[in-house]
Amino acid sequence: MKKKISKFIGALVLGGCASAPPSTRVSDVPPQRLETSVAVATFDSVWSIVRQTYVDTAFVSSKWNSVHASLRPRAQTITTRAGLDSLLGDMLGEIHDSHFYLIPASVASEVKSDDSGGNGTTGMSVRIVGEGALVWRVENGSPAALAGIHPGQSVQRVNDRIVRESVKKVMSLAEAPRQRALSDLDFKLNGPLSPPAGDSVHVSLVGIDGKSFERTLVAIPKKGTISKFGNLPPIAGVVTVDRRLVGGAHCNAGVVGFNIWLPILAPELERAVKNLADCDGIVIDLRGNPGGVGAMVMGFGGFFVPSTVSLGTMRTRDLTLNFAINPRQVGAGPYSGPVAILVDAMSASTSEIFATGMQRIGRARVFGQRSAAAALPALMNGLPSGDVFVHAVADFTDPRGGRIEGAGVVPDEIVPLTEADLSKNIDAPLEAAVKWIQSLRHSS
Amino acid sequence: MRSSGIRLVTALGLAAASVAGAQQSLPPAAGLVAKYSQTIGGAALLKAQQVTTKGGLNMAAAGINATFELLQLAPNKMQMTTTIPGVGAIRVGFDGTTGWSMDPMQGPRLLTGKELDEIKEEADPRASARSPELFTAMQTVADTTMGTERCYLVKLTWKSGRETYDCYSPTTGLMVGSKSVQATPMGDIPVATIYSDYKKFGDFMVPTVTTQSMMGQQQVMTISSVEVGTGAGATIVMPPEIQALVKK
Repeated sequence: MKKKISKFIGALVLGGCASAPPSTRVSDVPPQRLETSVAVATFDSVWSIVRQTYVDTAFVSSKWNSVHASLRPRAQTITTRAGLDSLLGDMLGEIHDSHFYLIPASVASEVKSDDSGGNGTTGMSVRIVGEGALVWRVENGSPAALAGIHPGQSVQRVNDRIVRESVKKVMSLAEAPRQRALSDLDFKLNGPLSPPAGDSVHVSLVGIDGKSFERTLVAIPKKGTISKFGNLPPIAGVVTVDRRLVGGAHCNAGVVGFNIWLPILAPELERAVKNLADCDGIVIDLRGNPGGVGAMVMGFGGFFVPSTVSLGTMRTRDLTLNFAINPRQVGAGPYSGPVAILVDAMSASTSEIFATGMQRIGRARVFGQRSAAAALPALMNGLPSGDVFVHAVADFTDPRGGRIEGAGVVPDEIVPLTEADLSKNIDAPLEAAVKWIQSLRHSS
Repeated sequence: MRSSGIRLVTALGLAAASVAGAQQSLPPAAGLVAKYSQTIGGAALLKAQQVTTKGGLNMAAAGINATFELLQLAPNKMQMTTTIPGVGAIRVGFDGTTGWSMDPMQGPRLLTGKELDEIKEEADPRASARSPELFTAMQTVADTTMGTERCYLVKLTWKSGRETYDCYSPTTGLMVGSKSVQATPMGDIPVATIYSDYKKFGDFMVPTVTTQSMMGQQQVMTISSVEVGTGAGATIVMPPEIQALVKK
């Protein structure tokens, strides 16, 4: 009987691994001079980490030694930062995966030290749009709302971070890491806006009228179900449910949103779906949801799928595991109406696994912006150069064998954020999803 | 650490091959299993009508501490609830016919296939006593070490066809470790287990500390109490969500 315990702990561990939200990183200008000994040690470290953790063991055993042998002599001649970057680029270029890259030392410290955590909120969230960032949402009655902050306003600074400079640095990155870096910057901008209750954050904005203003916002406790899961800090899970009614009582679309995939929210999610079962369609809002316990996609997905089907496959060095949906009962069976999923650059990890899986099996249509492209369990290791090496330790593929890591969820309908929509409180991605649901209703 | 479980299991085939020529020096499996059963008080275990086991479960690396309660009723029923802070209750059960699982991540499920075979066989107290009639074959395959203890590795082939491995101490006769491949909805997962701190409860013994390694993680289950009852009034309660699935 003891074995029965371990099965489920295994699922938790897996989810835990898959759930880690992406860390924050931006590009920076590295120092030019570098000790040769540091370059060699850094080269050796990166090589060893890949050898020990990269999931493609056939590649490691057949090619990785020769990569080391051919490139290490170059490491012994390096005296500049650019030389090391070039060398490591050549080495990692031998791995045909998109998620092996370095975070420069000059910004690596930010990765380690600036996760805001806590369960306070200022009530505002922002998103990168174009070369800057806009206020995306403001909760009614929140400190941000009371301070006169509205969606659509341009965000110039969040504490000491100058938004345009940060965005510019990210845009200078190569294409492969840019999507995750953009997502990471979104997390970086939003993290300080949810400090522990009682802490403050200083923001500089430009209003729709073009006038600049500054505010210091003091966070209030975040609403939601506080959950302490393992070593993670307490997290406030929030499930929102909205029945969009027309003609008095008819629900033309039900909207269920949640900010994290935590088991503690499972009963609420079940109630939400059952509450929306009479709607023409259901919209699952995963915008801003950074992931959570990966195994939850198997249960939540079951509300919408009548038979067991895989949402994707995770492969570590040792195991290949399927994220197999467990069909659930909403009424007589799973919900059979159309399902739309909303994602954005802050939808990561488990959210991406779910959205892509549902999209790939043909059960959902995805709306919004491309997601964080951070669906794999990845680790960060410090290097002798001070850089941080980001490297995946497992592979995850969607039901068609495609990777999410590095690519993100590509919406079926990309709906960009605009200042005009936001300033009018128009949720364009949601409106597009509802319009799609209604088009299906009318066509049937 | 991540690969220890599967490597051990994978290595079993090699171990079996490499010792083939030396099998004459290995003690017969039947004798090892019989000694184990005798040592732990297998006969008393088989007489028990109701056994309630309680304890805790710790995954230090993940910071998870859980509690569990296992109820076993003769002849072959069981239910187990593991409560994990931040997760909720994880329930598994077998009522003699139907096996189920219910947890916040995946929801209620009826067990089928290899999962059902496994729970069906292990709900039988004869499994804990390692009664020979449950197996179609048993073979000593290696003189090895599990944890820190030398032991004889015995391959057990259950009636369902699944294969597991026990490792018995040559000195105490106790099972010091085991290896198996667990069926899960996500796929098969190799598990290596170390047993220690055997204690006597009534007329039988159980290992009060069980350390499992799987997927690179380690979890330690510690039994705090084992109570033997008459079985009178005790029942296995199938959750309503499972009943709904059965009726479907």
